[in-house]
Amino acid sequence: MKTEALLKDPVFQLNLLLWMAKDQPSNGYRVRPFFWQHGFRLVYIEQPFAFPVETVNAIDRSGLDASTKPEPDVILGRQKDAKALYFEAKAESFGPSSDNSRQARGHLLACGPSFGEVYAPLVHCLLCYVVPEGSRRPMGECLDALSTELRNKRLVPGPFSSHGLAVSATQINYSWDSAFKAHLGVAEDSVPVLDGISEDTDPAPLLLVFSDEDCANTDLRDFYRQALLHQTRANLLCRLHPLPLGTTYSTTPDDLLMETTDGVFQYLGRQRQGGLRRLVRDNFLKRIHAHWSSKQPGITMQGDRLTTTWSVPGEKEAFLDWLEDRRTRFEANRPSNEPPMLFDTQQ
Amino acid sequence: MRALAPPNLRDRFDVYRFFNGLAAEAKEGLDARHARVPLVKTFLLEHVGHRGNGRPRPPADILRGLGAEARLIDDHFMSLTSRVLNPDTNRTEQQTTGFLEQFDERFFAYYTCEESKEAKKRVAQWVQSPDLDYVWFSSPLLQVLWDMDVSRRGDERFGKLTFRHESIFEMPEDFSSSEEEGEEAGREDSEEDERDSDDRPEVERRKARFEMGDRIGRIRCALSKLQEDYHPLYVLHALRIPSRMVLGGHHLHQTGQVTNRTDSFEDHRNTVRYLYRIYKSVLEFTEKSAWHEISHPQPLRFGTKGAPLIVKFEEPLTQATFDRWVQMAFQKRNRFKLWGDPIRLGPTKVHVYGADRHLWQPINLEFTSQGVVAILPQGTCGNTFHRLVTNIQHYVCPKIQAWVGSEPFENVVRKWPQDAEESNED
Repeated sequence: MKTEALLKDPVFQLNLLLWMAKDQPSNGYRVRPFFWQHGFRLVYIEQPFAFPVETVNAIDRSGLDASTKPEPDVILGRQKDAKALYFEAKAESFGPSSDNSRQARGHLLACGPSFGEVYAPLVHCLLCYVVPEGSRRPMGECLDALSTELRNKRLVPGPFSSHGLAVSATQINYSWDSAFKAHLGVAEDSVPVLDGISEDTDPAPLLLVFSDEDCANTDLRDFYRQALLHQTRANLLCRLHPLPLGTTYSTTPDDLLMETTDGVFQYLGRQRQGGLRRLVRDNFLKRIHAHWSSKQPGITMQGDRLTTTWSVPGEKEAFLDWLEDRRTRFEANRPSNEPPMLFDTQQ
Repeated sequence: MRALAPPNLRDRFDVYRFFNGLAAEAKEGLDARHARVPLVKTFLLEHVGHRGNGRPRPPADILRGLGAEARLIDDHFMSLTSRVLNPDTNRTEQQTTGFLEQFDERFFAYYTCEESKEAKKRVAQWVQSPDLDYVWFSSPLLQVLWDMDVSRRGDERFGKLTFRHESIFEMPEDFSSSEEEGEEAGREDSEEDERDSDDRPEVERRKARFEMGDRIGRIRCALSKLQEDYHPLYVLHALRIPSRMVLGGHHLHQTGQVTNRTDSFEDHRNTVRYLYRIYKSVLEFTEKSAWHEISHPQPLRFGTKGAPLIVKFEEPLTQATFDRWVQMAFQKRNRFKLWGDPIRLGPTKVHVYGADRHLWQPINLEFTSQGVVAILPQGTCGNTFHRLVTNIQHYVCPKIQAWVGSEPFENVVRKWPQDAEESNED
């Protein structure tokens, strides 16, 4: 994977932001913990913003096409001065007439007075659009135009800034504009956030969050799905190993995804949840069931739910040996969009 | 066949008296340079299976599943009976092999006077269970114990430090041969390994096994310079803790085995309790750091995974060594006790979304030729970090820098109880 292409990948961008908000050493960090060092801590990931009723009414009255459920990638907060950073990452900039502007208008309004109403005690919010460095300036111009448009309709957008990602020699640099400098109180215009970049190595840090709808690049998406399936498989192994003989255990894609995403799953939008749920159900749980249902009567699947009961010595060991075996593959290709039949009991 | 437990046992003090008698006899033997009876030794154990589901199991239940029957002597003290080979008849028979004291619901001490090799083998079998693990006194923790305590116990006292590093991934044949020799039961048996080395083929690889036995003052003067000059000396593997009360000391190994080389069992038990409080405090701090995001105040209700463990190697691994490490570290029988399917991101970089196969808890890992990043999910046991650091220094790179979040690892292992008297309440 060329690093330049990765800078446009929303999953890479999101995970980079999360790593920048993670506690790490000031020397020896994996990703420079820039936001952590400035006192910002994680508040939400991919959580739809819920506007106050008055704002929704005002948007309706304005006749503007603005999202009333904008979904920022990340929100960070700093309690000591009630400041917040509201991030949206994009592969490239867009213009005021783009389809993306609907969502951008929603983000701008979310970062206005509505933010303090919803996320008090955090009050002062800055919208941060993260794009490849070459798109940073046009992104700022677009946000400026959209803000003017909103104000003309007597709506109150919040302040905004645009941030850039660029490869420079063996580093990835993160840069920003004057609005961000003022909001954070920093003097510099950019910082290197990842070191040791080379042509032959994907610079990505460990994946913290992935949702299936994020990634347009098919190869990358399958790579991320593979990582998620590995996590899910590890999680299932950890749950099954301690079970004594005779215990019935059952699980669903939602159970496993809650564990593997550390609870992020419950905050994802329905479409995003649906994509991940299908992936785990079709490519993982159904594959397990298909392999074992004829060999062990205690392995059943009903709807989304896989149930295991081992009643004969040796069954558990055989099952777990197979699940642990690295030669057992779970495909990462996209599953079908068909929902499960409500009563499709599979024996 | 020698008795491993007192006859007509009434209470734990009968056990203390029995071990005191053995300790005195053993010390006389040591002084006469002839071991008359095996030394009393203690294995500190951690009950880890309850992490995550919040249901600790009583030690008697755990050990029953592992073939050892417990008989309660008092609320927190029990005898353990297992199958033992009787050398006189060459048959196995049920015998009390030792005694288990439950310090709290997470930490136990197993006291025994069984022969060292047999006792290690027995405990190694127990810790195959996901319910139990060794307590991992990593080299940084042993170094802090030396710096903050042992090196200040008197310049004229006898001290003994053991260092051990084996670059088992440097040569293709090394890892497999080490695995056959090793597994946990054999990892402490340096003396036996060395005994017949003349007759064995020798593999050329970096392998350092040192023992410094000298007056504490002399060791203290020399140690840091020696370490700077030769990095395997950063891999402190065992440490003699001289007693403050009696002659002799207590020999602490990385896996939490403490051997009594004094004539007092009470002094030995006090040292074990002291080490237990230190390890518990360090582990709790590790976990607090690793999961620190979860207690975000309302309404900032959301958190995600906590601080990572970051390890940087002083010297990068070669491509060949890195490849062998990645190939071997996730095989079924491996010293790192990890499960996963490495995803290659470059010639010297992999990501593994896997599990600690000993405790069966998830762990996400990044291995590169220059270091390791590990993330523990919330609620999982922090001793995975300590085992990982221990094994990295032992088998991969002797000199490392490590952090849990922004906290240097050498500070993490300094998180001892603030007030020793207060912590005696545990």
